[in-house]
Amino acid sequence: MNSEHRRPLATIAVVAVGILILGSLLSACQSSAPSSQSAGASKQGGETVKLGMATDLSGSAALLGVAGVNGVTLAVEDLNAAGGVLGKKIELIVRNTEGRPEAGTREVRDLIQREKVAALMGPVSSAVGLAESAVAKENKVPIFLHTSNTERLTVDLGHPYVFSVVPNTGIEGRAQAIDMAKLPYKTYYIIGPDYEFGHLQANAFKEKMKELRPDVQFVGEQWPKLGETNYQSFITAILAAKPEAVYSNLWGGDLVGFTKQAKGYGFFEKTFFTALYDVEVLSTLGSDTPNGVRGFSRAPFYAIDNPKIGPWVQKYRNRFGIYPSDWPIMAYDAVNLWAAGVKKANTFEADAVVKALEGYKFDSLRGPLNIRAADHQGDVASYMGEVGSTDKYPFPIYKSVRAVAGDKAWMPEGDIAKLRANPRQ
Amino acid sequence: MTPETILVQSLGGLARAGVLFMLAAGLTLVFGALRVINFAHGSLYMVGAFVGATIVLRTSGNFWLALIAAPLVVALLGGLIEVSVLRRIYRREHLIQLLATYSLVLIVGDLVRLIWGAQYLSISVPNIFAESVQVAGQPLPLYNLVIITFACVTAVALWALFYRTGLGRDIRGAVSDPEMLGLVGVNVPALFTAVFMIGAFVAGLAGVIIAPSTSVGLGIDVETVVEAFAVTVIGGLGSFVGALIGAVIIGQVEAFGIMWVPRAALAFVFLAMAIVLGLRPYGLFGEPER
Amino acid sequence: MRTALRSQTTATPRSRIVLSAVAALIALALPLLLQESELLLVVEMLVLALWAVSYNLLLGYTGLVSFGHAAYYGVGAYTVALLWSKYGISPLIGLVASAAVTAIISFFTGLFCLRSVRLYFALLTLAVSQVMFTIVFEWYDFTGGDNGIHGIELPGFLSSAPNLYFFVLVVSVVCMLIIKAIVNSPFGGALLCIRENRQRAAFIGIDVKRYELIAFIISSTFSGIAGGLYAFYDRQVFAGLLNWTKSAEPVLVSLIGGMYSFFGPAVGAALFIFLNAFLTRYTTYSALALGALLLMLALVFPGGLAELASLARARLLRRGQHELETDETAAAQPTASERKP
Repeated sequence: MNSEHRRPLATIAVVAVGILILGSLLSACQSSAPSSQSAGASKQGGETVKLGMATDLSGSAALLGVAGVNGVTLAVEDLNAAGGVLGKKIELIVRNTEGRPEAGTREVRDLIQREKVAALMGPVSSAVGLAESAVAKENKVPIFLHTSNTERLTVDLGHPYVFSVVPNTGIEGRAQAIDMAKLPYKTYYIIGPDYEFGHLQANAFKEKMKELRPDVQFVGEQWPKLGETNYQSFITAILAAKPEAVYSNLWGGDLVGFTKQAKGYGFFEKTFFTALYDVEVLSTLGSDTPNGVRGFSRAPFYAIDNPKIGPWVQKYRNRFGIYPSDWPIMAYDAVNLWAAGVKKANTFEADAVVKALEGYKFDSLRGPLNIRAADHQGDVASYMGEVGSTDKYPFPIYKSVRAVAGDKAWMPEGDIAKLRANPRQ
Repeated sequence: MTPETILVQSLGGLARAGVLFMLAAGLTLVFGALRVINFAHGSLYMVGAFVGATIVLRTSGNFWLALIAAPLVVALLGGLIEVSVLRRIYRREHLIQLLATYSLVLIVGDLVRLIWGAQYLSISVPNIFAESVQVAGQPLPLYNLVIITFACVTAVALWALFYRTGLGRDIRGAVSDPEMLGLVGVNVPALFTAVFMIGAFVAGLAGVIIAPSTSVGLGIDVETVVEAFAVTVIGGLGSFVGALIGAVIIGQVEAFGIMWVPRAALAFVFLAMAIVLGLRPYGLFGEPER
Repeated sequence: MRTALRSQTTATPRSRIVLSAVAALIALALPLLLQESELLLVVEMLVLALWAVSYNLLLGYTGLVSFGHAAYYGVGAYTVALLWSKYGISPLIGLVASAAVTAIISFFTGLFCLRSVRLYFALLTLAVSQVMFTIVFEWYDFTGGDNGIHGIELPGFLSSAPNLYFFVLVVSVVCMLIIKAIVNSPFGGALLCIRENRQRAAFIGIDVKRYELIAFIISSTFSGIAGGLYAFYDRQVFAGLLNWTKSAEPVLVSLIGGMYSFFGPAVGAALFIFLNAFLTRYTTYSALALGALLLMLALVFPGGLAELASLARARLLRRGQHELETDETAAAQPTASERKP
């Protein structure tokens, strides 16, 4: 029995694995350094306040998670450079949930109870967001959502400690319907990723569309799984139904795959198509982008009509070497909303910050935002336009940019109370 | 449903079957000869896709170089894994082997993230395949036919390797009786390394082939390996013909299933697996476990 | 729990009583020693420990590998959540119901899956569990879809973390002791016999399929209770609880702890949760580190922590001039070559 464990090869294996562990830990320190260490100022001996962020840094949503951490990091650096908040430097702690809700629960609880963070920045996935929001509510620590956006977060399961600066599924879906109702199409097909975001966002779109255009018909739906790589059969199934327009909330790598596969079928010549073509997707697609396709997104920097955004984009590029996608812009706003609340309340104490932010007029990167008291949702705009190439940027952008204001598309206040009493689940 | 729709739909399913076959072939080969369920097969496929896409992006579009170099890189990685990990656990239980290959999934997944970051990559279909062909009055992507062709070529090449070469004879020997093989003087460890490298090579090839038609990102390792796994099981573990038939079945079931019951798309693969195993407990072409 | 393992592997009953008493004392003192977040980590460990021990009734004691046990864990969790959200039924009753519901479901799925043997049985359990996962995932009107059901309200006395801890502790320990009693009964002996050699078992008159089905149902039922406890702990359920990635957890922790030791999987569960929580604090690449540790385990200590423990004990005993006695663990553990198919 013992001899088997004393072979030299076994020793080598142990050493090799040990090196691997060491390597991974080292690399981790290295890679998380800009996010968790440099932003902190604890070593200076000055008083600090901690900010926690447990987000999805592995798997198919990792890109959004990393982008969000970038935005939060930059915001923390800017605030610290300006002397911190209420004289305290901010120390950022980042954790990886790997997209698992149970990890979200565990990490956020640890951040709150052991690290004593003053506030939390939200994750990517709405499932993780719901888990983290529940812990935040229980421990009375404010959480600021910037990417995860199921309407259930702020409406059905909303509570005093949750804030959102991202267009939620309701705002986003309804805003697209408001813009698309002007189009002549009468038959629509829907394709979206098969999870809560896809379904809720498409439902909001459908309901608003039916209200504005009773003559529109929805002739079919397809729900490929999140992270699907093969869209062939979905594409041919849609084309067989011959819809005039296809509404989609596919995003990220999924949308890249769908677009590339659909091109070969002459899909974009046969039907009108719209989806979440953000900066990230368009720069990945590059020359594979179908000309004139309708895109929508949450914060395309070039489409934002606000003097603050230009210098900020330059700063972001200097810091990270890339153009910002939607996600760091919203994450940056999330941190600053919290900081604004703290300054207004003149304390880090959660209840005072929450009170200060209800109905607050927030000067965001996307222009002035109104934080509604009823659901703590910012009246953030949704952006849309037809995609075309440009000389100004190394990726296609929206031509004829339009924006639908958040207060035109968000849920009427009366409905919030109804859904809180009787949540969708 | 018109005959044209059926034709178009089934061609889409066949392209999917091509990719699934290339993955399942490697899985079933490794299981047949080494008796190891290689959970990390999807990781090899992911590495192939990432390396391939990187080569194309760095050489401004040299798809052919990627097609040769990336599978070779993956084969080398496979060889490394076989020699350093699998070789040491052949005599152990299936579960320990599964634990080892599962841990490789975790390790490779995070290493890919470490090397390439979270950014997904996209490469275009090579110019000569970028056209559409007219089938039944509808444009279809020519690249689908390329994928199907490549799968067929892979199938023929593997068949020729098994039945027309000395190495193939040894591999077949390993499938039926590895102990006998050692007795007749075959270097079994080297043979096993070769088998695993061939499986890895084909997985890497599948990764490069699929790259132009989709996005290459984190998570494709697990996404695809589960389906390829189901294909292998339906066909019967260790059966080459089974992998081929299984891939075609899954491709078609997915293609037509989503037309009739779109909401069940997630379950098709597993429903097919449950039904097949319910009817034939060893898969279509499998043999009762030794 | 670690002490529990030691008490089991140590032969004399007196030391077993002493160690059990020490373990009980520690368990009672934990709420005083730990912060709330750490205490809830222990709750998580207890839930996974119960799940792993019930899973190991199949894996280690019957020799049946299931790749789909998350289905029963998830069904247990959803039973608690759905009864609460749809019918306003107390989670306490829901917990009892979760045992009943998983027992009934596993009777049918077990009957179906046991048509195959060995590897193909494992794959069939995987297929069946994924179909169940899809049903939960897609049935938005009833299950709340992928994001599931949130904000489960527990009875008032469970609202504090220490009370929740004691509740989960009592339920999981009692369940584990019941499983232990089953293992030590003649029925458990028959299962071991099946594990060692199905043909021989059939020859001496054991109705193999029937025993396997009963073991499957018992294992699934306790997995369902573990899932129900998860709903108590997290107060939310989501479709991922039924997914195959979740099914990997009891397999992993059983292997980490050692599948031929009764409490091995429980220790493995504690270590697994601890590692996950610990590594995540220091690196965003915790999967890499966890993978490396698992790989090391597979290569060097395939018998898991139980093997490590018995090795260490053997060495200690030798140093103390004691005779090397074969303990329960070692006796139940066949050598690698015997297990080779």
